[in-house]
Amino acid sequence: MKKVLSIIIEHLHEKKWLLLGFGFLIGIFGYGITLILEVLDLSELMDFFTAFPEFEELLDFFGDVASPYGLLNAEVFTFVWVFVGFFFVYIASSTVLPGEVEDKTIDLILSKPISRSSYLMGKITFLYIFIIAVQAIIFTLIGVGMATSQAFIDVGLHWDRLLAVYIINIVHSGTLVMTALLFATITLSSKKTMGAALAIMFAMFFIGTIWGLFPEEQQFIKYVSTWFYMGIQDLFVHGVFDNFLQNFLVLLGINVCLIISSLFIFRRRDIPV
Amino acid sequence: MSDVVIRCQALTKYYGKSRGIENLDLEVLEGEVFGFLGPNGSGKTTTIRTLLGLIHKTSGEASVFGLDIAQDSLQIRKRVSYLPGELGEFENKTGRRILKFLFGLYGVKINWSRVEELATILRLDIDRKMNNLSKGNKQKIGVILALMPEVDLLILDEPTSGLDPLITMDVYRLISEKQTESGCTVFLSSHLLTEVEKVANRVGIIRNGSIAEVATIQDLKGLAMKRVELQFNSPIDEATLRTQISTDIIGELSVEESRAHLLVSRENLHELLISLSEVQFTNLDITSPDLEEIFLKYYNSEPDSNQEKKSVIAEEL
Repeated sequence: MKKVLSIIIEHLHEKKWLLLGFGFLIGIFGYGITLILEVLDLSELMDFFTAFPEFEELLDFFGDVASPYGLLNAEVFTFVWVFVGFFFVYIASSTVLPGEVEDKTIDLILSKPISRSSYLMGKITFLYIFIIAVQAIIFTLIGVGMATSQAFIDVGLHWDRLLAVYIINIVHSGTLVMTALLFATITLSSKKTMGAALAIMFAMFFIGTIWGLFPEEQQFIKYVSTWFYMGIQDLFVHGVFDNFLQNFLVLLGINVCLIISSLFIFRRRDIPV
Repeated sequence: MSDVVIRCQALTKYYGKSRGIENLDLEVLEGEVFGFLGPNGSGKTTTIRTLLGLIHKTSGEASVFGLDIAQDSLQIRKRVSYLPGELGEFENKTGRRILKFLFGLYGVKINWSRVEELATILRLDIDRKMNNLSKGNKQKIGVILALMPEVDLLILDEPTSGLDPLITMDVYRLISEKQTESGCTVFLSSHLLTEVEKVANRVGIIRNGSIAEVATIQDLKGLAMKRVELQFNSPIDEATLRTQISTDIIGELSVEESRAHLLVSRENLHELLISLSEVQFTNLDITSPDLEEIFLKYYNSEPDSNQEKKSVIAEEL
């Protein structure tokens, strides 16, 4: 346990400024959106959509952008969240094994009395701490923005929605970084890991976002996308929690499968010079 | 000094179709300093990395402290300290930070005053960032890492790589002190015999992935051939000289204008001198090749198979 802790502390020490910097950057952006809502007349926005019924589909797609929750969801949890995912994949690709293989420090580390499983578990724990901490900063700043925004106060402050989105985002981000981890154990190369993990992430995002536009008989494809299981629109915009536990368990299951696969592969791998 | 600490039996590692090591047999005894010598690409690092579980053997058996390298790697590494040939790039960290992190992986308390003491001996500032350190200074961090933990086996892969001669001397002195104080076994890999011979009790010579010879330094010197140099008044014809000397007793004969160079075993030296009584030379020098020359002979001959290789070496010696 002490050895695993040593790895976690070392990584946190390395990435602390990145963690704080990125967390505050996205958090302030989210906070800024809540401030914009103060000056934005949402009823005018709703009138605009009502006047142009051809935008109705778009409205469905983003989920009621004329409400404070809907607009925050569209701006932060839909558009910006792709960049958050990108950032997590980057961190996972550079922090997990390939970085140490490329820096040629892995021999020295793995020659010490630490099992490969413990070593990888140290990395995995760090990655979860990282995504939990970054999102804690983001969600805290968004929460502060909501608490001080009259637009949100008027429609009601639903902290349960924000908490549910925070939880589902953590397990979802977990699937992104654990995908990177799996490729890292296979390729042991940062570039290949990042390339493969990002390709999968964008494919998932694409499928999970526009599956509704597919012919009905092909819509089953949504089940292969991890983004489908986030259900943020239901949670945050409509306050519907019916599928929350199920989605949470599916994403958690994917995390566990990816971790087990990574451990299995890494224990059998030769460490290249 | 009787228990075997490292034992390899027909240990083989292939990287796909490329040979790393092949049928490597080796025994390193408890408490000895064992020099593991070989040219670049001969399989030294592959052997070490296989023993440490960084790579998996293709076939054969190997144990350290009687523990199987495949099954008990963690138990082995608890008792081993390793210094790789290249320490690696530890980003923007200070030496102290790196030491703290890596000592943390042993899970035991480290005597930091001793670390400071070693840093002073090695003239190293451990609070400087790795990016600002020369290759030699980076390697000094590795030396401290290897010497600090209380272990039974030190595995050093080219430990003085990139160090200046003064620091190299300090490093070997520290290794000797550590070995004397703790009685630990030292497995020292290098391609420089001159460095290894200062500290090693025995050396193993690896070539083309297999052990070519294991001997004490004294044995190697004792088995050496004599170098005989003949000086003539005028350029000499090699074919003529060969008719005058019994070629069965000489290992090597070469002629450069008025000089002839011969290699002969100690046993045949007397017979050679008798046959030279018929030769009209003006000067004769008999010298012993230094250890480096003997060592290079193992490197230079490239037989096809292990068996052939070993028989050639036996003939040479």
